[in-house]
Amino acid sequence: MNLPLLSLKSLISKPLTSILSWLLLTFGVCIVALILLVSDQLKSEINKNAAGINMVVGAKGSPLQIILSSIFHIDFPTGNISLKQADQLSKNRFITSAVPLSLGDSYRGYRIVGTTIAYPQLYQAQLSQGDWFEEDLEAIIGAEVANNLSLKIGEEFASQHGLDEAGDDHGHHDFHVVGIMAPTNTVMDRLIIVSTRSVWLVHEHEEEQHAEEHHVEDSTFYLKRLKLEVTKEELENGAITSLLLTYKSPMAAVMLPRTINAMPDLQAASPAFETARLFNIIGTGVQVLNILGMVVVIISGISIFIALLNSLKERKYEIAIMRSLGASQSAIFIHVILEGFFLSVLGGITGLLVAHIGIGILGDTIDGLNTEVFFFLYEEVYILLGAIGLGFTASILPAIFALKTDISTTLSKG
Amino acid sequence: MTETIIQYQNLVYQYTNSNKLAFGDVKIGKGEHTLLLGSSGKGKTTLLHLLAGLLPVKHGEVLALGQNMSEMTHRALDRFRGENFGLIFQQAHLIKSLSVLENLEVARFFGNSKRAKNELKQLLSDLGIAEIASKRVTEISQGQAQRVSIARALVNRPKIIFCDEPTASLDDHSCGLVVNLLKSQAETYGATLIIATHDHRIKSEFPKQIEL
Repeated sequence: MNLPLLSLKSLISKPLTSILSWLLLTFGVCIVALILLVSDQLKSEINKNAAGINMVVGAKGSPLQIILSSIFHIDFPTGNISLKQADQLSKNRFITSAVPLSLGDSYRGYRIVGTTIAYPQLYQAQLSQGDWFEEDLEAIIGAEVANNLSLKIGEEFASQHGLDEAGDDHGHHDFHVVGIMAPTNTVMDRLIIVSTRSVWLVHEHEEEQHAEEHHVEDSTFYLKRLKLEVTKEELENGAITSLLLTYKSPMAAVMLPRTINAMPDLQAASPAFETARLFNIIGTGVQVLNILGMVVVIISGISIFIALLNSLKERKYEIAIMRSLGASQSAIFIHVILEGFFLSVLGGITGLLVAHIGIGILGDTIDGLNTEVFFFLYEEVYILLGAIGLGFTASILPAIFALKTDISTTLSKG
Repeated sequence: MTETIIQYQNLVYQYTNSNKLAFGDVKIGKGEHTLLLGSSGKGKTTLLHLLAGLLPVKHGEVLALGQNMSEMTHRALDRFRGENFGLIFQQAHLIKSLSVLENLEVARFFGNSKRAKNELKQLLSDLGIAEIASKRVTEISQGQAQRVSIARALVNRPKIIFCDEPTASLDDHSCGLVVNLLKSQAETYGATLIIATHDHRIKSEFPKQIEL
């Protein structure tokens, strides 16, 4: 027999109150930890996906929507911008690179992005199989797409109009897979990348009947910054969804938005600014949840306190007997403190465990969140220490009452 | 004259109000089982607690096993009590969260006993309750509980066994059994019994009596 075992047995002998305190603590710690984990993973997700992109230019509309649709591929695009304007803008001296994106189509829920090889290069994406596309209607797919849709190189698929699975098929033009990208843990894993012209081709047929002359090869232009080769016709009438810009100098952050927003059809959006704004919007909700979690944790502390205090009434004689058997006051103090300690360690650990399981489930259900179940943050150590500190604090007073038990008075009462 | 196991001189207990109880001087020899007699309110229990070190001695002296208990620190007194005394009360007050055997282990733990763990089972069978060793204390009868509390008092091979009304809640039959058990076990362990009681059924069993 020893003190920890004695405390453990005492906890087990009153299962209902022990379980209540344990559940409350588990629940509270779980909420606090879950918020910590989700916001951390969300932040790292955002930073990973926005890395290297200083500005996104799209059609006039909400800048947040532009960021969400063009960087995270979760919202709908604001509209199209003309290729001509995009080309003009890309020649701006503050810009080092401009990547064109054409959005709007999907295949079984995964978005098809018409762009250039420069886009996957932004994310340092590597091919695990096959080659980058060279011809029209060739597609490169992300690791998750390949995995979940079981698409292999050489297989064909027809894109659907719209960004969800309910869209109509673009009948005649089948894409075929020429390359599969290795996992990057970025949004790239969930995308299907094709050339800009492929998207135009697919859409041409749905628009009004085009005259035969379109297919007669015009002389082509090479748009250097956009890395696009287009015909004169395409330059005049073509459209893309957005441009991802990288700045040449910090001055660009000051100059460019003004220039761009002054144009009638263009809207500039800064990923850093918009994501900060997004965090501000959800920040209040996060705070409310956090406070809720703290309140539950504190209530569990109170429940430990009350449970111990209540048990002292019954255990007065047991404590007096232990003292008569030679137990010192400090042994009694430790005996009671250990009960609170065990409950809080257990509650803290199970709380963190449930939070990790929870984030695993969240990661599977929420789109655009690449969560890892066994990713531990050093802040979790603080949560655990906090929980243990709480258990300790809650049991201090009962422990002091216990050590002050008057053994003679107690035992002489029969 | 046998060697003195415990003695007290000028022992006075001051209650929180102005009442005080004077117990005078007494010497008890080794093996000299002693009854502390007197009607309620005479201070039997108080004297027993003073001698057993459950109450601090403030006036006078108590010498047990040649050591002055009035000069010991709290911690030293706790240890001294655990290692040398066995205590039995009217109620068994067993620890409810533990089994019978575990209750003995608690005594072994707090009393720093050198006694081997497997001897505890032997102790239970000596007292005729080996079969309830692994039972929870809530499942045993009052008579059994009292035997367990006797076993618990014996775990650390005490030199003195203090009993406070050990037979008060027992019927005549159990009373006789308990007295015989106490005597025989005290014999086995070479311990001296000091029993505070007003139970006239056991007066004839013990020649040495201190009337308060």
